[in-house]
Amino acid sequence: MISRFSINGIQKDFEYEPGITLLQLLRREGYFGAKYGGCSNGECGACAILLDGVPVNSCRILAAQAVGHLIETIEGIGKHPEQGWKKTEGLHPIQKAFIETGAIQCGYCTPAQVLAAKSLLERNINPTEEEIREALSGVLCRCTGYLKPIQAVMRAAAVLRGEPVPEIGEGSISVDDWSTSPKDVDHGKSTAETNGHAGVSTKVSPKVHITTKTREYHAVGKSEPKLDAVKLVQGKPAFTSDIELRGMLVGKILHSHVAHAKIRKIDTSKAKALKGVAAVLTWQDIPRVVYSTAGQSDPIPGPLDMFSLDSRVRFVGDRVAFVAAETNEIAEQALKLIDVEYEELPVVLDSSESMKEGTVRIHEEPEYVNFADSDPSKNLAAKIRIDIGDVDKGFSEADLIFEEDYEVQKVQQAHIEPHVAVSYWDEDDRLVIRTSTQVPFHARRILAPVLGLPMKRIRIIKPRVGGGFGGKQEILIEDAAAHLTIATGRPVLMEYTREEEFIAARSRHPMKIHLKTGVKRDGTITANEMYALSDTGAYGCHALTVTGNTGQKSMALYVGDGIYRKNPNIRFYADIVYTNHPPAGAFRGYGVPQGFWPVERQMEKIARALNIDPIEFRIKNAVRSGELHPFSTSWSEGREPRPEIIHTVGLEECIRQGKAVIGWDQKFNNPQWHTVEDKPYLRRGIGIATVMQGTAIPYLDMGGASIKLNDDGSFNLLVGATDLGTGSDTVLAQMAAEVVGVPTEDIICYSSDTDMTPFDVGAYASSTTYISGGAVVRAAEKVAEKLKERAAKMISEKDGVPCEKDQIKLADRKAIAPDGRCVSISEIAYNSLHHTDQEQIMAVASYVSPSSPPPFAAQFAEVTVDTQTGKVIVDNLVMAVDSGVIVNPVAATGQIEGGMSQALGYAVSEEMRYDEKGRSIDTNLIDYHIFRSNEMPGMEALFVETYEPSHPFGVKAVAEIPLDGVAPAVGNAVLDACNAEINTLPITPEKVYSALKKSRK
Amino acid sequence: MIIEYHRPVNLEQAKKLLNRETPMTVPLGGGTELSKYTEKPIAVVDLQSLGLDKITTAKNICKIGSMTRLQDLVENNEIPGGLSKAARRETTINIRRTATIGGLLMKADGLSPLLGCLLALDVKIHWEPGGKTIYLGEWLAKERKKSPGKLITEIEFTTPVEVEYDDVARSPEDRPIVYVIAAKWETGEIRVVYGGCGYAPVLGSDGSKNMISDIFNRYTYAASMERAGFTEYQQSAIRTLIDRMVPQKGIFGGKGLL
Repeated sequence: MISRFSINGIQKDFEYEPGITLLQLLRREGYFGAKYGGCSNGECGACAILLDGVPVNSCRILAAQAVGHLIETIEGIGKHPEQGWKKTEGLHPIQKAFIETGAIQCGYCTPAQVLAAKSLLERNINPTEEEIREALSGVLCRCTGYLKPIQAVMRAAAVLRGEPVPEIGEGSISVDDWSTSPKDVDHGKSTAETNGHAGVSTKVSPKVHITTKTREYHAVGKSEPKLDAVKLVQGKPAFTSDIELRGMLVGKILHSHVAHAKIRKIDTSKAKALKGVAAVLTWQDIPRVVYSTAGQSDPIPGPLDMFSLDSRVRFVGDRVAFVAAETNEIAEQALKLIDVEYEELPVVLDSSESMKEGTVRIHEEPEYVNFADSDPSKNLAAKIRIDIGDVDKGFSEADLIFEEDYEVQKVQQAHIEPHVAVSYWDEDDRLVIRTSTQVPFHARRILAPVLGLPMKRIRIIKPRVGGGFGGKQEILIEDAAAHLTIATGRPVLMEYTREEEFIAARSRHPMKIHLKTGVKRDGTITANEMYALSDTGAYGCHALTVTGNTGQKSMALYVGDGIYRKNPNIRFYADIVYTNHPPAGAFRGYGVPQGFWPVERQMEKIARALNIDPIEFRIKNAVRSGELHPFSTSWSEGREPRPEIIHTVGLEECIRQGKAVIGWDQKFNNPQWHTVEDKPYLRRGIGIATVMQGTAIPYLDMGGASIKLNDDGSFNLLVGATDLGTGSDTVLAQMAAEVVGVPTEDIICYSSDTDMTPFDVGAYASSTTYISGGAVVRAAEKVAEKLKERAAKMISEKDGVPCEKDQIKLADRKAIAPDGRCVSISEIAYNSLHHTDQEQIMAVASYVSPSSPPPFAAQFAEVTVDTQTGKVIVDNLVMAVDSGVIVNPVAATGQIEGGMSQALGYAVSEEMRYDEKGRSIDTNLIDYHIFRSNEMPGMEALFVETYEPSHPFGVKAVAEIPLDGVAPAVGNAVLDACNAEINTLPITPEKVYSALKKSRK
Repeated sequence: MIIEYHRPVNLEQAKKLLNRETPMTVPLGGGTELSKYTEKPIAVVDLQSLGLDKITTAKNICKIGSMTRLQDLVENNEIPGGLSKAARRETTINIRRTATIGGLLMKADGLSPLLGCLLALDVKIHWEPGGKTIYLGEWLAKERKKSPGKLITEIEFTTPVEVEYDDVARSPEDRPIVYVIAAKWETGEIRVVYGGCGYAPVLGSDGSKNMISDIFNRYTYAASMERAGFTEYQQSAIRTLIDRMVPQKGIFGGKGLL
């Protein structure tokens, strides 16, 4: 068919097949701003465009249906204002507002959000917050928690109305003590009456309780716009699949439909005979190399138990064959033509059954490589036994023992950009893999033996990543694309569908946890013991380290008081077992949310049982600054542990400030506040959880950076660190700018490419700002030294008056002597590159930390519970965080807000469920519900700065800690509301109803 | 696989196309389901130019064209508020802008609040060719197998009618675990529908105020809900929501359901 389409005001004739969707047509024709979210049901909305002025999901309509209608894509909205000699009208006010307010994180859903906002503001220039939330609700965002996009639309609306808007980026709202400010007490209006909708205040800059040790910086501490925001807001082809290579094939994976079986026979002849099929690979066609998909440093701290393709399948979704074909449709058809004869084996889905004698063994392959205590004969992927102090003595000294069983569910990362990789041979016969990964360097190392290539013949390029959250700390599909490129010699695009994300990607480890705590009647914890039974699924990727963190972080917070403070008694045992579920893996928080659910629920119950204020009880027993991290002498992610002092603990201040913002004192223990007028069946509750995380893995995580001076005084900053939407490129650039005395905009950051950028372990363990930042600062300091040296010479030679390099200060793009004489950085660059004793001023540095300074936080939740149906509405969330010095307050707040929204799903709605045959029940983002913009509770993040002495700018981690405390805070709030004891996540209406029924008996 | 696309400009053209034996020819509403890859070669007939997207109310009858988008139901002030609410709870705003009421009738199941609402309103479905009609309840009872035509053109229900909607879900915008919809006409007729599982929503009661006293007959209800596949929790939640509608001030003219 040939039809005329009107796209962005231009008429274009396209030839196309009648079955092609509008999304397929647009992307084929280069409108890459419409993104593919892996679905064809419009669940995510990343593909939204405007059709006759209103947002519709382009994956849900045929291209032919759009003929005769006006199509608008992000490419038609606004452009970079300066394109050489050609000037444009610049970005649209909505695009500008998205950049200014920090509304863009990974940027994958940004074009759709901008278009939805445009549609709204063209019809209603003065929308309410609720109208904005509704307008954006068709587009899922897994990064931001929606607050900043809403703020962006409000700001854009004000601009379009001709109203003045306040500057952003001049720092945060610095308030020494806002706790007495009455406006903060009742900051949210979202209640049961509004069904949790809207009504929250939206402030762009967060409150920061600034550490007295912070000196005045020009770049660090400022809310600089994200470096990549301009391209992302225009929908530029920045993501992995936004390229078209000549002759590119589509790769697909045939997934097993049975949970456990040997492949007796596999016949690919019909598939191979299908026209348009370029290759079909089974386990018989490729080398059998055992490996782990976990993207971790060498040696992988876990068993090697995976093959690219195997003669046995271990879960529904496991790999059976790879296909490469000319089109997606042909590839799909070919998958159906592969005949597989399975010899089905018994299935184990219950982790409690997995280690029992007589249970079917999941890994029998002789190539299996153990790590530490893994034992495939017992279905044991990993085992942890940690004893600190004398736990049994501690229990014997306790007045009371509290013991409970808890359970946490399997949940999905649900990044909106699916797993995607493009592989091809370059002109040097090197294999290039362009992939959406958090760990490019680990990917290269792990893939080399799997593909039978020396590492030097593999290049990994990481473009922008559309969200990862740990899911892309996995070498998940890169090998499949690469095998197909090796087989065909042609480029291959391999992209997961949303269903594949659910059946064949990774998830958070579900666990069954037993917690036993001994306490004195005065509230002193004498001993604490946790046993975790963790279900790693069919493969042991991250099995040991995720579950290690479960105990290492959550059980470290409460050391006890008095004599127990110096010698805490803590036991953490765990068995991480194989089952026939899809494998678990890394997910933001990395085991810690699983640990804090039982710990924080138990602390609440103990405090209430002892009739002690739950907050006072926590503070009494929590670890304090200057104390030894209790686990540092016994655990370090499978490596040699070394003692580590915790230098900064801002927890008490976090509690104080968080209490003030949520209005704790006005609500807790106030019977009137707990009721709702005219609705006797509704009860309000308020809860707290205090949490800690880590910052990188000590003595292991390494970041590298190189900085190069350009003629004009700008710098190329090359980092192996992997910005997956968090804004780490920007934060690293800010640190470099701070040291070399230029504005952040003069730093051109590139990340990451194994050929171009220095090594970095990648984006995980909340390490980038701290570890990669350490490398950046070191490299920048070396460059600064060279700049000062040359500047001193230049200044001295100018008028013959000597100038010492040590007296030179770098600021405002200049090298300035104490007497005011100066040269610009650009003059230094010209001098060094063109005029005198020519040299390239550049430096490379790396950083490994001897410590993992923990961030701390107090998380609060307010809920309304329907005591007749069990329905829970989360009305407000507040989080006060000690993440050390905040380099970019707006970006950091975005991390907190986004993290809280993910954690909210963990608390109440998200759960990967399976039937009795191990088949996934939830395979889309409708059944698996992640929060939308029009149902978010009120949220506020605030920072309590401490100055971490182990980092040049005093920073600690921020990205993972928001995941830790929302669920227990909500659980504690439900308990506060109606005495419903929920020990199993998620907190569903049915569970609350059952708990209430039980408590009434 | 879609091998042909047609966009007729009048109903006659559409009927002619849909009467073809080969290739298999099917109507295309919003586009949702048919945009997927399918095995069989099919032709699609896009109904967007037939003017079937009108909502009219006259002489105690409300008519809604089959191509009416769900979002149009949300934004329309002439139809009962409960119908708008059910449409809003059906799916997300972007999907509501393309999904049509005709498409919904063809595929929605017992989890669908809007299908439940249409059942509560006792809508009559108009089909072409042939101009035949069938009540939704009757059609669902036949498991949609004996459709009186190939193309739904519109639905209608009697007005004035008030509709109340309530549900329980894990979060405010999640799919309901259960929902209850009650429609009450000036004549005193009341229909109560609930849903949350299975092939179709369940008509709990249909009759006058006196005739529906069995709403409160827990045994009758438990049996019908169990048959429909509702869990014990769902049954309890449904009963709670119905109980609340009975005396609730501010609904049905301040009188509650009964």
